[in-house]
Amino acid sequence: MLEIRNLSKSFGGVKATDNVSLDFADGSLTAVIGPNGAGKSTLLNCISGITRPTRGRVRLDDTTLSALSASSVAHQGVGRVFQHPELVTELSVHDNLLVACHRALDYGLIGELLRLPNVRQQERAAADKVADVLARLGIADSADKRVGSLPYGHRKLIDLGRALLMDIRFLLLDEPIAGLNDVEVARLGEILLSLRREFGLGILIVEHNMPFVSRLCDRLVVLDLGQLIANGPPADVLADAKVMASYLGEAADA
Amino acid sequence: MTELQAGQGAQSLKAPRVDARPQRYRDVLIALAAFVVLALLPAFFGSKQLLDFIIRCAAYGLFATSLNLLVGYTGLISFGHGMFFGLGAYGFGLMMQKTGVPIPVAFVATLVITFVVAAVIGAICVRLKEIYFAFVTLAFQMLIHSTILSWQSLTGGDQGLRGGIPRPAFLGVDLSNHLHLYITSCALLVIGLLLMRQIAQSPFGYTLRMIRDNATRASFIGIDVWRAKLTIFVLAALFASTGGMIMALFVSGAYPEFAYWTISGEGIFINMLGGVTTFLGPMLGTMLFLILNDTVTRLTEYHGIVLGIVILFFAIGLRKGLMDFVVERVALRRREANG
Repeated sequence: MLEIRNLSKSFGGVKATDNVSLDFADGSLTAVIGPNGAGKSTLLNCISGITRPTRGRVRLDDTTLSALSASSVAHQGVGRVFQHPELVTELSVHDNLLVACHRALDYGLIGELLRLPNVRQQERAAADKVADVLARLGIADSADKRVGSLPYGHRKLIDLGRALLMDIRFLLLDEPIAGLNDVEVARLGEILLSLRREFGLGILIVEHNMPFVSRLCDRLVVLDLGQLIANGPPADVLADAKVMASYLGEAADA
Repeated sequence: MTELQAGQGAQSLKAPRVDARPQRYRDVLIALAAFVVLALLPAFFGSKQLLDFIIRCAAYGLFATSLNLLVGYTGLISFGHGMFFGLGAYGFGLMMQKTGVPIPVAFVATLVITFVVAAVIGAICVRLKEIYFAFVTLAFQMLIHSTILSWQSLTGGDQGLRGGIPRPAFLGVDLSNHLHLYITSCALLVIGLLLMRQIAQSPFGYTLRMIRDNATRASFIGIDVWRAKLTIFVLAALFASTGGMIMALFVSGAYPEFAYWTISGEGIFINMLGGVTTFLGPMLGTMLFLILNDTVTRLTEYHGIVLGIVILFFAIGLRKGLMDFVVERVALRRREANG
């Protein structure tokens, strides 16, 4: 269970999020929507440890995430994928993904340099994990290609794969379908559903595309000017007059 | 979530992944071949000048390649890397002069000293952002340099460590013999390059590139950026220190210039000459730099002007190092040949 309690973050006089409390259960699929400046990114930043909340806290079960650094939050099992993937373009897909395999690769540099047997064994195990994730994402045949040579949609999947390799329990996605074509969008939706079904992965999506989120998610959270204005099943939320006024009215074409 | 077992579909979809090991074996083979060629060289070319040149290449090459681990792989632009070159030279020279321990003991002890000093300086520096990192590493370099100058009773001040470094034979290896020194330098160079290559091609090396491209994103996939930067800072210092020890053995002494900021500047210069996107770029840069330096100083006393023009040509004309240029041309040629 990921709990957000009374979360506020101010930048100077601007309240980016204002006293927001939310719960995300394991295996839930939630979309956070709202107009620009609603505080969606601040919310994700506070969860993933890059921004310290002014007040309130974020907890994962018994661990208070809001006291941890971004890398420790990731180690606790909260992965984050950004709108624009940042991969090392000169390396292969496989090598890019290896970077996220710390759990499987637990040895010192000396062992690495001497190629001790346990190092080789761990590297094989990590390579297997990478291959499994690539197969799940449907890009297994790209394993040895350089990331720089791949299309944007593939890169976004690799970025997602990197988060999955950390053995995460919660996944935060920032505009996951921006820049993807229809086939890729459908594929991503299937992947997210299967991750939830098989591993009970909790998923949090910030996305502007209403048809996508209302079809996929079982809950919509609407933020406006830092405040929580709606929270519930997509059908109910979309029927809410306040939501229509603040968000959908101005962004109906999104 | 325990493990991403992709289930039934995965087996058939699994990519025919080429294991990373063949490449490692290839690197070891290349290193062995290079060492054999270097070791056989004196049998065909007796020229002392050539062997001297290669010894200097070993010293500067280890230094410049280790700097590239910071600059090219991690994006840490250190302007004080030369301090570890100087530290290696002085640490080793003093140890041999004052204690008379066997050479391998002094070698390891100097590495230990470098490790401690680099860990302390690195812990302070790697937190800093780009330009501040460059400035503060430079400041530490000047601190070490002025310590060497002012601690006359120990270091001999601006005269350097004089009177020669004793080089007692160890297990039949006599480093006061020019040929033995040459072979040892070549061995250290090859082993050092091989180890650095291993670091660069390991998952840790990939992590460094990730940090270089976007450190914040790296922290989101659970990488402790500070720790990774500190680790590579210390490792690079160890190789630079080894280069300094080769230099001390070669000149049988140590001089304050070894720890002066110009050494760091030359390291950056070499990296710009050779290029930072390929592993061997700095090695090629080292050879170019030493050849340039030797010929230009013989021809004119204004060698700074000539070197300056050359570096401007590389920076503004080619916009990359020579090795980068060659690699790109070969790739282009190959692509054209393939249609």
